[in-house]
This record gives sequence, structure tokens and C-alpha cells, in this order.
Amino acid sequence: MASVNILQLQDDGTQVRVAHCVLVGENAQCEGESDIVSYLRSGVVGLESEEILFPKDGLRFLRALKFHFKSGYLNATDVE
Amino acid sequence: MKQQSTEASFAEMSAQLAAENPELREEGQESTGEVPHEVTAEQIAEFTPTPEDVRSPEVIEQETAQVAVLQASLEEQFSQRPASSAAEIEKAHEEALLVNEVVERAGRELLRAPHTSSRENDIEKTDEEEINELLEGVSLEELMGMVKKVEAEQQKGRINHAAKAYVEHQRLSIGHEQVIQTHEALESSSLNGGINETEFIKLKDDGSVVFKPAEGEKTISEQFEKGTLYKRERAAYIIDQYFQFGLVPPTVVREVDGKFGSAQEFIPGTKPGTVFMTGFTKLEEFLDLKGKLMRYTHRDELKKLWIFDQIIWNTDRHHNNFLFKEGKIFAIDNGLSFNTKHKEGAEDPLKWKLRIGEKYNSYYDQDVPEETARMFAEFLSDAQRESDLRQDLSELLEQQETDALIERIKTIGGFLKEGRTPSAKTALVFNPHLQTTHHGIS
Repeated sequence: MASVNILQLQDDGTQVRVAHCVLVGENAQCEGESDIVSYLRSGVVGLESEEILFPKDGLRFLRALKFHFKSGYLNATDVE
Repeated sequence: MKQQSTEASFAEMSAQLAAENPELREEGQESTGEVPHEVTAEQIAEFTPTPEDVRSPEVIEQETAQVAVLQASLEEQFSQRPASSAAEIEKAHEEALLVNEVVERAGRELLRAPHTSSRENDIEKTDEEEINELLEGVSLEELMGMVKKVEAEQQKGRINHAAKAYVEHQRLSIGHEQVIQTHEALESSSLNGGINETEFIKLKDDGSVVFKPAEGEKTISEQFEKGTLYKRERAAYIIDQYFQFGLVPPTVVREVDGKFGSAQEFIPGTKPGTVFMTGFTKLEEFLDLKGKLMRYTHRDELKKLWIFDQIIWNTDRHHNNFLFKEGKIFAIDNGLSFNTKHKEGAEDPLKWKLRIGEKYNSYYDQDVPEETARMFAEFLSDAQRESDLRQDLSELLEQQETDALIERIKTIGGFLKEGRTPSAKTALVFNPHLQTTHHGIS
């Protein structure tokens, strides 16, 4: 099942998963820290496609996450 | 002590003095009514007071009257001094004020010089010592020469509160910049995730950085050439410094393990900017007291962030690209900025950019934080600042990107120096490069 983890950088340099999005049917479903999940539900701009993608966009939404979460403080993994 | 009579002997007076003032006795010595120190008979005879030594109330009254006459005489002389004396006093006072100013100016000049200290406390101490050394041996003539120079510069509007504040801000940043620029990288760990390569690096003795190597950059968009994002990170920091936004953690370009890239000071203990988010649905938005309160209490910081993004033409600001800690906001991941290119036939990049901007907050037609307005007014009134900025960015951005940046500073700065943000989106449609290649911006 396709999924993406959102990882938050800790003060000691390790990364901790703060949200997890998984493809269920045509849609992505996200769970984790409420602020991050709320943000994901509001849509992310896929820099590759230059459009706002929502969880209902399924795999395209998941693929957009690593373009969006790339600061180092919060990184999104590849679709696994 | 009671009044002494002229007939009292020295011994009697001494004994009485000792009895009434125990603190005069040596430690541990009880009062015996005797003279507390060993005094010879000759000394007693020698110091026996005469009527002339011990003044009577009448004598005191007479002397007091003489003092009053003398004081009246001096006051008379003072009131009859020539008018030019008052002017001289006034002038001397003004000169004293200018000397104070030149001392401050000398200190500021010193602060512009690079420091070798890495911590703020050390810098404070060194500055104070250096100022003292500078002023040591300076003659009044030299000092007044400096005063004239300061006056001349003041007339040019080069020295004012904003410039001083800028220098002060620079001073605090210099130490941090030097640390992340020069301290040895002790441990490096590649971070998982993200389209580009990112590393967390612990520095010897002092802190950590988020390192983004040029060779780890991927092609994200045709608008940004691969291998230029790390320079844009540094350029964003320079803009932050010029206008004293205080948003971007110190960011430098450096080499780590043979790789060049941007190194940005890691800020521990932060939370993502999602703490400022409005709820997704109308009901959530209505109930979102926390987000509303956060946005209200930090509105000046958020306004600065919005203005900063307009200036650097940031195409990638969202709630996870700024951090929050103890009332302060930190703008991170500023690499997708300063572009002047857009994909042929694609949606207007300006519109796209504004749409992203509105995702976190919009601040049209709002009061501008006073210090921000002042910094823009300063920049716009001083051609040297523009020249300095162009020089600082010359190895980081393309010429046309710097030209477009300057144009944005002038256009947006024109609003800001009047104390308000632009009134509407249409006021921000001005990118000169885009206007020559693209029409129909709506």
C-alpha cells in the first residue's frame, strides 16, 4: 500500500515521524499530529505540477509531499 | 554634643568626646572616662585651646555674615558677566553633546569591523575595550575634527537611528555567521526525505546547521536552475539583514566534506508554523481560538514575513516553511526565491505565487512595523545601500534577478516607507522582467 511519512528533525539530529499518509482506494488518508494533519487536509502545492493537491487526489497528493516537505526540519519520504 | 566652654581643658573635652562617641574607642576597649589614646603632658599643654581656637557663637555669627557678603558679591559679578559668556557656555555644551555623539559613532564604526569572537558576550567585552583604546590619546582637536565629519555625514542623512540599528543588528549576527562559517563539522548525518539532499551537521564547540549541498539539488521546476538554490538561501539571509527583518537564521555558503552548499544555523526547540493555521472548514476556522490568538499576538512578525516574501519573491512559503519559538518566527527553506523565469504557457507565476502567499496570511493595506518602514525609507534614500546590496548579491544571483529584486524593493518600499503595505494584489504586479515577456496578468 502506497504511503508517505512526514519526519520532523529533533534537536539531537534524529528524525521522528509526526504524520503518516496512506493511499486507501482512490484517496489518501493522513494521521498524526493534529496541526500537521490539519495542514495536509488543506492541500499542498505540488511544485512539480504547480497546482494544489488534496488527499482526495490520492497518489498525486502523496507524490507531491516530498516537494513540499523538504526544509530539513520537516521532510517527507518518497512514496513507499 | 553639647556646647563647649572656652574654659574647658583639652583633657576634659577628650574624655567627654570619648564617652559620648563609643565608636571612637578602639575595638574591645571599655569607656573609662579617660583619653582613649596615650597623650603626653607636653601634647596636652600644646593643644590646650585658646579663646581664638574655640569660636564663640558671636564669632560664628560674624563669619557667617562675612560669607553672605562674599556670596552676594560673587552673584553680582556673575549677573554682570558679558553676554558672549553665555553664548560660549551654550557652545561648550553643544560641543560636549557632539563629543558624546562622536564617541558613539567611533564605537559604531568599530562594530562594523569583523570580529574574531564567536559569542555575543565576548563581542560586547571586546567592543568596549576597543572603543577605549581608540579614544586613548586622541586630542581635542582630533576629536572635534571627527565631530565635523559626523556633522557632515548627518547632513547627508547617512547616520540616523535606522542605520545605527542596522549596524547593531549586524553586530549580533556577525558572531553567529562566523561560527557556522568557520567551525569544523564534527558529525554529519543525511536526513531522510525531501526532494533535495539535506544534512544535519554538528559543529565543533558550537551548535548545529542544516546543510544543503549544491550537488544534492534536484530539478524541482523549470523556474529554478539546479545547483542555484543554496545561493538563493544565502541571498535571502542577506536581504533579511539589509532590512533587519530578523527572520532568517544566519545562513552562509561553505564547504563540508568537499561539498559546497548552504549552511543555516539550526534553531532547536521550534514548532512548525502550523500553530498559526486557520482551521480547514468554516466551523474549524470559527472555533480556532488558538490560531486566532497566535496570529493576533504575533501579527507584526507575520507582517514582516509577508513583506519579506514579497521582496524576495518567495514561491514556496507555507506553514511548514516557517518556525515558531518563544514568540519569534524563523523563516526557513528560502531557496525557491528571486526567480524571474516561468514556464512558457504555464499559469502566471505571479498569480501562483500570490495564491501560496494567501495560504498562510495576507496583509494588504495594513500598518507596517515602524522599524521596517524606517529601514525601507533608509534604503531608498541612500544610493550607496543599493550599490552595496548589488555587490553582496553579485555572486549569488543572476544580474536580471538582482535587477528585479531592486525593482520590487523600490515599488514595495515606496508603500512601506509611508507606513502601510500595498493596498491590493494589483499593486504588486510590477515585476519588470515578467512584464516584458508575459501579458495579461489579472
